[in-house]
Amino acid sequence: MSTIQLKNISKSYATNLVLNNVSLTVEDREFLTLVGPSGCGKSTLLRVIAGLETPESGSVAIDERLVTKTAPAHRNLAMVFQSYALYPHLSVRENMKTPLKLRDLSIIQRLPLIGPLIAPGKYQSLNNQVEETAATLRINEYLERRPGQLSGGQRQRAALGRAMVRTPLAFLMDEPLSNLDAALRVHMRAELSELHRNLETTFVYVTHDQSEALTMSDRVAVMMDGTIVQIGTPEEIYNQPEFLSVAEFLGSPKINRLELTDEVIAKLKMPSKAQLLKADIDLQLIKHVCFRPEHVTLSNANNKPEAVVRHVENLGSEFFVHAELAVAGCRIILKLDAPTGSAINIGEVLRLSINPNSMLFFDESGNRIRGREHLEDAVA
Amino acid sequence: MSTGSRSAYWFVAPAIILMGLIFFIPVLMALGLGFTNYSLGNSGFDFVAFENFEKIFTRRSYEKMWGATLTYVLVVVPLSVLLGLAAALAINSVTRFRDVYKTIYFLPVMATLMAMAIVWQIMLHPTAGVINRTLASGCDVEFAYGVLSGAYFGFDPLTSWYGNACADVMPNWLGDKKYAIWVICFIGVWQNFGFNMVLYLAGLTSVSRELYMAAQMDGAGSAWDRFRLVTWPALGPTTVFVVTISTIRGFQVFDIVEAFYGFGSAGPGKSAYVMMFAIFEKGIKQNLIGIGSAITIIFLIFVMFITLVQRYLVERRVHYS
Amino acid sequence: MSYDIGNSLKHTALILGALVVILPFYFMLSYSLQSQREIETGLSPGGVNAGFFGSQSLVLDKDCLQANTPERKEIEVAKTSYPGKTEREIYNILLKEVETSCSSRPALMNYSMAFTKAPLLRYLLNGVIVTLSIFLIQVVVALPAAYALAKLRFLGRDFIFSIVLLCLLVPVHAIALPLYVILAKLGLTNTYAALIIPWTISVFGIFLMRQFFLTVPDDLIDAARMDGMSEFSIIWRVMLPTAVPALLAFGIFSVVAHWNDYFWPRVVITGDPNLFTPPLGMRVFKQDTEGDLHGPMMAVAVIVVAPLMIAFLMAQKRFIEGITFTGMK
Repeated sequence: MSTIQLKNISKSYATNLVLNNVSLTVEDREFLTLVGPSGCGKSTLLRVIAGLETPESGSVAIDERLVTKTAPAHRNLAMVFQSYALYPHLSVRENMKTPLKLRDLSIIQRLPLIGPLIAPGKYQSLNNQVEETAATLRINEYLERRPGQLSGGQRQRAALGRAMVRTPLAFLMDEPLSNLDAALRVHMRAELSELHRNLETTFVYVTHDQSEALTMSDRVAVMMDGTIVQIGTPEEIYNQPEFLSVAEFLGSPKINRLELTDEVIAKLKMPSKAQLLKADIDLQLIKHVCFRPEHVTLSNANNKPEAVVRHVENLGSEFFVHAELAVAGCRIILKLDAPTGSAINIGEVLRLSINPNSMLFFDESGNRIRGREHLEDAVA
Repeated sequence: MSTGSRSAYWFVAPAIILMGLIFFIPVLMALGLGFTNYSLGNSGFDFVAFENFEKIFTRRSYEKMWGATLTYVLVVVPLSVLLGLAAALAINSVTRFRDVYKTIYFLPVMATLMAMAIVWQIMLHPTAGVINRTLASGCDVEFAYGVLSGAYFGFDPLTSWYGNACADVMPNWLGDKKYAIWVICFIGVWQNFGFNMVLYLAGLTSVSRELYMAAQMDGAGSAWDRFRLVTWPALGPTTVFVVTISTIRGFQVFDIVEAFYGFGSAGPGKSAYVMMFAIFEKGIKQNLIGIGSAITIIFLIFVMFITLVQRYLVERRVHYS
Repeated sequence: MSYDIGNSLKHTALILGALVVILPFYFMLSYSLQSQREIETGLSPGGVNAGFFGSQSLVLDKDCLQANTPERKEIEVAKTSYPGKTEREIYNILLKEVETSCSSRPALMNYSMAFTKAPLLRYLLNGVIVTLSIFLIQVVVALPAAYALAKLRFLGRDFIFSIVLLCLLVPVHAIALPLYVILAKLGLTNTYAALIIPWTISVFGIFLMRQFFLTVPDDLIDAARMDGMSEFSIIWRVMLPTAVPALLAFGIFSVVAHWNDYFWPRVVITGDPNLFTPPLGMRVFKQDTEGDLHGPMMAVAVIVVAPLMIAFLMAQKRFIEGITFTGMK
């Protein structure tokens, strides 16, 4: 059992409010990701959980135990850092043994040379623990090497090993994959998810990379300007963003956004004014309409809006088509499958069809506007 | 050969010629003359084999040289390194007045040592110096006397250093064999630790903040644990460098001795007869170039040895790239 | 709050340390303003504590008095202006006048004596000539060599660089004796040349500039070659401007070292006061006035130390960076 509960956390550096009254509950054995642009306060929030930062107000509880003022050493959490933060002068084995020694041995037993003589049994069991952990991470071969002699991926594993070796209540990870190259990052995503399933422990994971957030997490908390703006499963966050900022932050390529004017409504044809009204959406409030690139399809119907192709990106398995939408006077991106995409030429005029169900409406300040009823029902 | 290879030789030529004239020829000369009885003005000289070295290692006056030089190096190097480290750690951990402390501690490094040594000499004058005047005035203040002489702590004041000085006479810091070399050591530390501090401060900026956080997560709750686990290992290369350069500078102490004692004297009972002073006195004043060169050779061997130890220690370490 | 206690302890220790460090600077300045009596007793006339500035009450310059003591002739002449007075009385009147004209405020007297008792200006000028010549020659020699070692390919480059590294091990002061023998044989002792020659090559400067040039992109040099510059003008028109920060650091290092150097001038300048550098001049001033001119001596010390101190206080960041940068190699 390890839930983490944050209540009304606020923190500022000088005059800069970094965390603004943040509350969050991380469930037991959950993989929760804090995602947001840089400077949104996600790392600070993680450090507040770790105890490395003290909040000005609010409380932190782990398993119902209040730890707001407890030193990080006594919270029994493990953390993996962006730079891995391995001790450069110690071998991987010693790096992994350090947290065990500091926790399980007395000051005298920790003395070099003398320590192992006084408590040989304890040292043996620490060594066994290290070996076991190393075996699960497959890093046995380089236990005797120093961090400087390892590749980025190996260091990453060593840092994971150091965190895992003492079975903490929860793992905190601060952008652990951002120093790896792209291929390794994708590979480690899968491994970390697997690790989480096997360890059955709570993970709190910080990243600015939305694809990591979407692929690995049970739940995602999107942070902006020191607050959590939305929290939910990856599907909820991606498909039902509550704010324009969230919609634009997630998804690659970025979501398409049009300013909704009467003319746009008229020429886009769908959804019609009547449909919107029927769904109880207040037309006066709508400022932006958004739809994801994958929700645009090509159509043959004459009444569909026209777009002129300006640029085509071939990604192998799919094509990104940049097109100028005449009605709205702006560029949008379409994500098409390879056969469709490869047939498109620059300068060509396409007719587009946008699924009305996938359209998201936002008001002037970026808040989502939902109808009382589902738009598709209205169409029907 | 690519572009500019011909001009390259023109560019390095002056440097090579000067290196030959200023480093190689003198070193070779020292190596040769150390085994002779050469004097300037003499037309010839005799090869005397190891006679000069024998003198250096057996005669009493050179015993004084070793005593003074090693005392100075063995006191000033550890103290100035430790004080430099302590000052750097303290300055690094406070938030206010960092620059003020840094500036003040660095002042002696920039100041002309000759001038500052003369100031110290005036301050240390046995009767008219401000230090002894202050000490003496403490004798009449009951509290100061009680604390400093140990009378307050139940000791017999006359067995203590301060009690004795009050009863008898204040120490003659520079004129007494008992104190002279230690006072010189003190001024050496006073002058050098700021330099070490600055190097340590530079070393500290390269210690990653995440490493301290990792240590805290690993259970290093006390400042000492974190120092042992993160700071001290990270400062290893700095320490090796600081110790090396302090030692080599330590062997070169000269100005303070000349400032305190007239031209040619090396302190009471030659107690401050440091190595550079010996080279100067023997080689240049007494024109015993052979002996002077022999001391120079020993000096160079020391420097080589220290540098080799340093190289070894530096190369043994492997670090994050 | 344990944090606050620890913090105040640190500040207390740092302040105590700072007091010890600054003590001689305080007394140097203070003594340069006080009379000999005040320096020796710490008391002003009347028994009050002299403090930092002293009482600045008039003191008599004994040398001046001695030189101007009224003589027979002057008394004879003065008889006409003081009719009816005895010779004794006239003598006393004249003596009073001389005493008044020979008295001045200690601060003023110390600093004026600093310049009159020894050719201090000459010393300072020598210091400037020597340090600047050394630095300029060091740059002229080191810059092309560093450029060649960093950016040009030629046979023997690595060998030459290893020679530079080898020379880096040898402190010039250590080989002062053979250098002195060479200069003496050449008849160069007691010349500016002797003060400058051993320092004309800074292997350290070559090493430092080479390391710096390694970080300059090759493209910059290739672009200059495409523009038609010769290798020689690349050094002075491309590399020199990019190297200004490194040169500044090296310059601070070099000037500080040679302005303050006492040992080498002591070795090669044996008699001619016209060649004394400031530290050597200071030492001789002390020797000549042993014991009784503390005030003027401190004034000399202030004047010798001041240029570097003022420069340091005005640009302390640069100085500390410069020394650290050059110190870390």
